[in-house]
Amino acid sequence: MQDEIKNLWEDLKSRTEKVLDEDELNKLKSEFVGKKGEVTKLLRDVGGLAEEERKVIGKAVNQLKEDIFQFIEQHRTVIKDSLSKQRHLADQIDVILPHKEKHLGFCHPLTRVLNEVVDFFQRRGFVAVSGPEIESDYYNFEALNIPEDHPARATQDSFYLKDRYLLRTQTSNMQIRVAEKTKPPIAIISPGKVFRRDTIDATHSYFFHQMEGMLIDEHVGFGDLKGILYDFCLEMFGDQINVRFRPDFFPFTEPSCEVAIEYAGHSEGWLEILGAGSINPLVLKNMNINPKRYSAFAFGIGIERIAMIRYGIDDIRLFYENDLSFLRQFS
Amino acid sequence: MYVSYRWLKSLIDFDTPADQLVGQLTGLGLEVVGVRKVNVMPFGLVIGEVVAKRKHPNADKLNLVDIRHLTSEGKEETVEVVCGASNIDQNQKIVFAPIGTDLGGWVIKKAKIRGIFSHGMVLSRAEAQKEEKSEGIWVLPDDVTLQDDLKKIWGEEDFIYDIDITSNRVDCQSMIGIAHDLAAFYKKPLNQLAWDKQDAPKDERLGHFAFGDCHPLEPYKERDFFSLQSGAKNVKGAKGSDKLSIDDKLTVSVEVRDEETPCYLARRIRGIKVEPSPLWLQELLFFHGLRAINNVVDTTNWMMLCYGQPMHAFDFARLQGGLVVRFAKDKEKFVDLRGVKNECSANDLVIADSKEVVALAGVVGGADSGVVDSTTEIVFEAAVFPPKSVRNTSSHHEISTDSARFFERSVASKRTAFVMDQATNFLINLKAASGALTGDVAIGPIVGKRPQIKKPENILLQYTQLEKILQHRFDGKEVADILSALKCAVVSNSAEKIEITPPFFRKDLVYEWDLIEEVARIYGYEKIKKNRPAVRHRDHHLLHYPERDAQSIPLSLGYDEVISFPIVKQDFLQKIYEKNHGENWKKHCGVAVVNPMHVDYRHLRKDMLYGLLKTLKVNIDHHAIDKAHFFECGHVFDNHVSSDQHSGGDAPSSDGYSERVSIGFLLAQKISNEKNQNAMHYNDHLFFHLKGDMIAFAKRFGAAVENFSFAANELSYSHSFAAASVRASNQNVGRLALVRDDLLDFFGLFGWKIFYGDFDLDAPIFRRKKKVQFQKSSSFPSVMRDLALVVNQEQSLGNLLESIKKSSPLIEDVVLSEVYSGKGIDQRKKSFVFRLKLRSKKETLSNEGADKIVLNVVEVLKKDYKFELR
Repeated sequence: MQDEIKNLWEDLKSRTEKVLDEDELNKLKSEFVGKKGEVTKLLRDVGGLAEEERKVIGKAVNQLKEDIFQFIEQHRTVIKDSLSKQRHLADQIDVILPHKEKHLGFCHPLTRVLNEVVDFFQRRGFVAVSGPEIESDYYNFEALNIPEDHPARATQDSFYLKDRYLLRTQTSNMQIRVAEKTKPPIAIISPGKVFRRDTIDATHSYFFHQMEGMLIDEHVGFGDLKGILYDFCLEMFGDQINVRFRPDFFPFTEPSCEVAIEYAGHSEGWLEILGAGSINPLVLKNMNINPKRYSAFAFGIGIERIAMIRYGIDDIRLFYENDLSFLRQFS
Repeated sequence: MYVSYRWLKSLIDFDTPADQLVGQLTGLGLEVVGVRKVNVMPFGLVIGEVVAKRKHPNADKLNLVDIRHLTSEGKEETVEVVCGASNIDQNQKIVFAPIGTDLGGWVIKKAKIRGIFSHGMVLSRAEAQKEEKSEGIWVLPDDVTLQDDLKKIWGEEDFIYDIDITSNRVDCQSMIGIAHDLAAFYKKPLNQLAWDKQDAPKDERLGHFAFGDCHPLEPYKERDFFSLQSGAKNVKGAKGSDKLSIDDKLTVSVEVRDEETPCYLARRIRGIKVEPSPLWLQELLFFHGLRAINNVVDTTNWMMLCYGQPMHAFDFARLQGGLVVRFAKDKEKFVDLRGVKNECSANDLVIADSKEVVALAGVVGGADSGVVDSTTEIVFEAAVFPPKSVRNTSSHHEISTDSARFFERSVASKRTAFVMDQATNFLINLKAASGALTGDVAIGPIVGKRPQIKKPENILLQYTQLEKILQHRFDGKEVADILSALKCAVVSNSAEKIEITPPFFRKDLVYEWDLIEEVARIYGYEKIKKNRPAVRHRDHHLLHYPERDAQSIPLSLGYDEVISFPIVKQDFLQKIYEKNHGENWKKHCGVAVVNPMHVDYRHLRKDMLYGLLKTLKVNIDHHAIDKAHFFECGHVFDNHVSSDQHSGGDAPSSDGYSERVSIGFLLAQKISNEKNQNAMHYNDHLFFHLKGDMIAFAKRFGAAVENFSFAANELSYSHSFAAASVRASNQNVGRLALVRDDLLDFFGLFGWKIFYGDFDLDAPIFRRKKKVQFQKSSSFPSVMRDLALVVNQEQSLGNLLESIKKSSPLIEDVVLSEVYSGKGIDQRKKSFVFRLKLRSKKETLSNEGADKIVLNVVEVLKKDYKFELR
């Protein structure tokens, strides 16, 4: 029986060394140490031996089994190493070679800036709403306290459609539309396109983007407006800026203000960012809101203007040309 | 609006330096948009004397002059200078720039002119930046000596602020209005600088501006209104004005309604010699952006700047009879003072004499009635015309004048008579100052239509409201002080409220909140404390903003975002619609703008195609790209006729128009090998890639895409063979198609294969986000099986995919992995290869079990479809 053990061992060794893949190795393993394997058979025979012999041979067979396990597992490592080596022959690479370009779409810079603006106000509880670009004279002008012949109409020369409709000149149309649809307290922002009959040049375009904001509640005042818009300027342009509120005029707000920023240490002077004000009670009345109980503020932000200041863009036309060499700078 | 720093300083006692005043004016809402430093005397200029003059030997038009002047060391020196001015002469005192003088970046050098060295330059007033254009050199008065200080003759430096006046502050459309607002800010009175009063003006040069016996901030006194010599009483040296009896010769009649001309005043003045204004006035006008003409016109212009009241002057001798304010007759002729012939319409408000139109009211005077050099008797006009009428006339005749601009902003009629007096005084005093006043000066009374002046309504301001809006508690006295400084008359003031009467020139003060703004303005916006309010809202579920998600999802699919003009060129629309509609193409172009910037660009986009193609073209031209992915999200428009291609969406704008939020995708590839493109390669075909991208978009957007159905459907811009509509709940909610070659041709994109698709994001399927319900997944593994069905070449896939899916509950998913035709199957046939994902919830499927399911599927399909197995 000792011979048998020895032969089995030798046989296994010589056969194992020729095996090159794992499946074959597993087969070999079960041939020797599987349920019906040679070593298992041998172990069964040990039961028939005399006590003394059984002790010695049994130990030897168990040792054989253990050795076989070990040997096969060792060889498994050898096989895997060699396979791995082959598999990665092609992977011996120059890691300095450039990366492969992957393409995610590019977000338009105006959308990028708009999203930042929207995020700022959404975090503070304002709800975004989109509004129509074709608008009636009533929502765009009249309800906002801009009657016919008001000089403010001259500064917002409009594109007219038939039947007193026009392309809205400001997102402020949404002040009235939202207030007609919902009840106070109201806190909305409304981004979108606006249109004015301006000749296109480096700083003018006949369409551009604005975002209207409005807060209507029982105790909304000018200090609230200042606080929110001050924080907004700092968030958009960093805290190294000065913020200025100066009186301005809009027919639908009073008091009205213009907000401008100044970069500390830059000589560009004050850059106008947005217009705002407490909503004129005449406009609140047009919204069917009692100005005795509620007060409100509204503001309008020019998105192109913010983007131009943020990115140092000096020609508004670049936004609408959509040249990839421009768009792809804002990833 | 221009206003001078020194002029303001002469009226108000303040110490603020010129650069800091910019911030204070702006802080008051008088935004300074520009500052010009004027009357700067370049360093090194001296007084010179022309001691000799002779002809330049080599040039007819040039002279050689010897200029004597003092050097910087105080020594006398004479140099030879070449001078081209025709008015230079011996013994003149002139302004001389020796070699080395820096005239604002232009340094005088020794220069050879026609062979002779010139050692300096004799300045004209234009070169001294004191007027726009000079006829010759600037000749100083004879009594000037070389030892005099040129600076004294030159005058002080000044700053001219360019102020952008908001449309509510009509009162600040005048220098006096700005001065007044600033005085209120400093809580100081306005100094009266009547040059004709006993005390001499502080500054002669600015003091030629008089309040007369009435202050511009007070309403003009009734009693003075039609008195004969109201304007003449302060005239020094004018004789006989009380004997004047010329009034009967000037009749004025206003034949239009009150609101069409609320006030029209005129006055005759005899004994005027038309001549250039004194240099200080010419200079002042030049610094304020106006051109000096003559003493009469300059007077009216200066009054306009000071008081915001435009005036006009007629030559009395050239008027035929009295003045009439009326509407023009249709096609009535009028030659304006530029010599341009105008044809009036019946809407033009005009001034006429008995013969013809002599002025377009408030806009421009006539060529044949204006003041000329020979004029001796003038008629001053000071009137108030309504903004609308002036705007109409000005734009109808395309004449833009300073006068029209002032009237368009509206003018306070209560000051008109006052300004007439000021102008009279001013002109007479100019003459008196120049010593040209003679005994026959005669000043007529003010005649014409006086304004109906209504007392302004009192305004009540509740202190609780003030505190609520400004979020600051004001002291009652503080409020009264601010409002009084603004010339509001305080009627009463209690702990709860203050009542005031606004001044006549502040037409913008009507409501309580107008006063709140005034208090905030003078108190200072900067001083109001910042709060961080609690933001509350309700009903926000009613609000809808699809753009945010729509703009982010395509980025992860590799599409670049585009923002383009939402206006489509008409030629392109013609090309689209002419194909199917022939001559009726115009009816299909969608919404048109009545007054476009350009006739070719008047239609609002009906979809995103035009902007995306244009973007593609720009990028092909700039960059050698061979494929592109673009998308644009925005509004699209149509006339409100239900179209077979559009869902109509939510149509937020009413009546005749529909407006939808749309997202358009463009997938484009340059055709590299024409032959290959003909075969149907399902796996490579861009149409299916675009379709896949759009479905992926819709899924992520939250739409229940399993409710989509696709139908082959020719679109206006598509080839008939590769176009489909996306439908959901019996509505078209999207489209995708291969764009017609002739449309690509329009952009020079022939040779490209371009697929366009869009979704209507207002459609209910996109608005109602799909509800997510968790489902426990099976813990047993799935098994994959392929199923290849051979069908006739022309057989559509139809509902085959859905039928397979429904044929067994063990089929978890089915995808079409290939559409094959070619080697191995009949030419007239093709094969659909499906990949089935099978899974049981109860057990691990065996190979045999899986095969059995597939066989079952085949049996089920056989009932409805004709095919062979491959």
